[in-house]
Amino acid sequence: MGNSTVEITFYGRGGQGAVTAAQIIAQAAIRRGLFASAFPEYGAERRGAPVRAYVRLSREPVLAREPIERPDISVVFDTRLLNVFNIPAITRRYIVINASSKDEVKQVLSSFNGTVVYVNAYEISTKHLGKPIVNTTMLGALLKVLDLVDLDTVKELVLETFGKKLGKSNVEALEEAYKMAEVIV
Amino acid sequence: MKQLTWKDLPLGGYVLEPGNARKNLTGTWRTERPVIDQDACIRCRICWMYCPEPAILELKKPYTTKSGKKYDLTYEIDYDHCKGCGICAHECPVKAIKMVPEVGGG
Amino acid sequence: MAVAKALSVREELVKERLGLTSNYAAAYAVKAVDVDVIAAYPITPQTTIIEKLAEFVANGEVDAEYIPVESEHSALSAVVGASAAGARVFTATAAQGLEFMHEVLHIASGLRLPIVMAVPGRALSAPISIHGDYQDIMNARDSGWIMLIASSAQEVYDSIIMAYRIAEDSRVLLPVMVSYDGFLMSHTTEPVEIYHEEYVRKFTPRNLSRYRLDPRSPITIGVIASPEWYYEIKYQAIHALKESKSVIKEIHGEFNKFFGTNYDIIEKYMVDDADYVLITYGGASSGNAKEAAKRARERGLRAGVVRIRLFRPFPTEELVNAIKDAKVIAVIDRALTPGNTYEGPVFSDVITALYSSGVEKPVVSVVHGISQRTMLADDFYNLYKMLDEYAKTGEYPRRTVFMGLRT
Ligand code: SF4
Ligand code: SF4
Repeated sequence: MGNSTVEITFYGRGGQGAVTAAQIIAQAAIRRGLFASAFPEYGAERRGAPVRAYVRLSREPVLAREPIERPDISVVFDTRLLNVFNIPAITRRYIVINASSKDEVKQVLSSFNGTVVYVNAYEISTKHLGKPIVNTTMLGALLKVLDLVDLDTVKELVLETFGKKLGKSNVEALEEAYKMAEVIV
Repeated sequence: MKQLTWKDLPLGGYVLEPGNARKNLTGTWRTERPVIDQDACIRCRICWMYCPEPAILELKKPYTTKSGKKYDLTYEIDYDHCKGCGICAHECPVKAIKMVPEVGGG
Repeated sequence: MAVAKALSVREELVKERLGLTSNYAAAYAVKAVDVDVIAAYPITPQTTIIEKLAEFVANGEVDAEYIPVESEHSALSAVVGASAAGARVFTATAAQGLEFMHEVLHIASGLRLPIVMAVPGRALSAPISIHGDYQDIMNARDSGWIMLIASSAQEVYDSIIMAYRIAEDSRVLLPVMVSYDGFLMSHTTEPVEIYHEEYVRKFTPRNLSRYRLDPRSPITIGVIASPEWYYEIKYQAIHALKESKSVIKEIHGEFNKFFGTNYDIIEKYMVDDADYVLITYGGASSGNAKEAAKRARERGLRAGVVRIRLFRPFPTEELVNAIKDAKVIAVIDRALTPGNTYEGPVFSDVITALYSSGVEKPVVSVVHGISQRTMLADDFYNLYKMLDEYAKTGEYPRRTVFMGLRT
């Protein structure tokens, strides 16, 4: 994507790390000299409750401080969130989705006209982290279609955010997702 | 006397002169004065502790009571600052302090 | 080229460009100015400020006494004591915490103590809300503090640095509150250029030219004042707050020169030729209003925004000057003054400012973003269109407009 401003919404559940993922992307962009803002839509902060986190990336300072109503990219941590937020209808270009199979993706996103990036994030994150915390995995898949930030800067920030030990396994998850994610047109 | 204006006062109402409460002669407030019966007083120091001003003086003044008991200390009232509240008389365990009306006396 | 020079100066001063929330930006500023005592109690959405500071202290990056107190009342009381003894202090709170501090707010200003406090604003209970608005901050406005309202994380960082210079200035000696949007700023990650600490410290040398508690030369702070003294002592603080405006402007000027920034006590966005002006404070209202002004200009409306950055003392002359040529004005409040003629608190301030200058204007009171009710740039764009209607018809609402309220 070469646009000057890109709006991304992360959809997750409390405890899956959607807010952290949004912050990492914003920080990576800021480190590369871009303007960015990342902010969470807080509801009651309960584990399992639906959570949205918004990211704006831009080459110019961002004036608006409003929720993103029509994201260019939606990053969806859990297919059951698609209907909760009406994601296929509001997303402009890409849906990056965690699903168990390509068939499932086709089924749940039949109404979506844009491009889909599919990754089995539960499998990859469980393999590297021992539990299905998918945020860093989803970042790997997102990087397939987001060129305003680069893999190395994101890896750097994942290491800084999670510390040495946890950081390393998160970077592994991220790298594998970056390799495995499939762009379905 | 010209009263101080807001410009003359120390900032925030700070009191810059240590111990100047002594200049406030609260003794003028009194309607009754405490009088200590030195023969009845057992030098327990309770009045000295309770006085809010504080206006009970603990003096190194030897005293021998009528019954011959000797004390090194004497408790007296600082009448410049005693405001006559009567707490000392109320607290004294042997009722050695009497409150005497100021009117006519003084 | 003055601009080019300022830019090159700034390059030298900036240590790194980080992605920080406004709360972290506050903590980084406190770290840079080198405080002696921090006392605070956690409360959403403030907690991450003092968590970060606790981390700095634990790592040895900040050499301060960190007092984890049992309540906000104690937090401010502790820094009142420390400040009276000459320490440079910091605390932070929000919402119910600021309410719980309320009586000590008046003590801090009455005792003329240069305390700096950060407050990301939040709605007040009941009903219970953790979300952002400015009710807590508005309730503090009559407590005699200098109040700055920032609109970006960078501005939070810069304002806290300025706040120490302002508070400790011997012509001021008043506490300073640096506030900003709870969540919409306190938890939003955005770019912040942080400075090399040596430069920040050069800008904020400890100013101890005030009476302090010191056993070697005892004084009394916090005495009772009988009615024949209270009024005069209170008036000193009232007068100092009013007069502080010129000092605040002077320090803004110095800061701009030193750090290559462009702060003023109000911010004007496309107002010079504007027919329709929105008066705002804080990050979300101002950012969305500016975006709306841009959109309105694209569609032929002469729209502008005046953002109030210095809230107390109120920038009366500057504000009136900025809006005197506008046709219709609206004041966006994110707080309420229930039962008043109009429910927008800053609306009343604007009307008073206009009245004091003999300027008569149609001004609309608008309330929005209560408990972080979603505010869109388009809401403000629609407001500009409404102001255009009012200008044409000459009719405008004589009651507060509650935007975003389901009716
Ligand atoms: S009467 Fe009150 S002020 Fe006077 S000595 Fe007794 S306790 Fe003190
Ligand atoms: S309380 Fe009574 S007995 Fe005790 S020292 Fe005072 S006067 Fe004497």
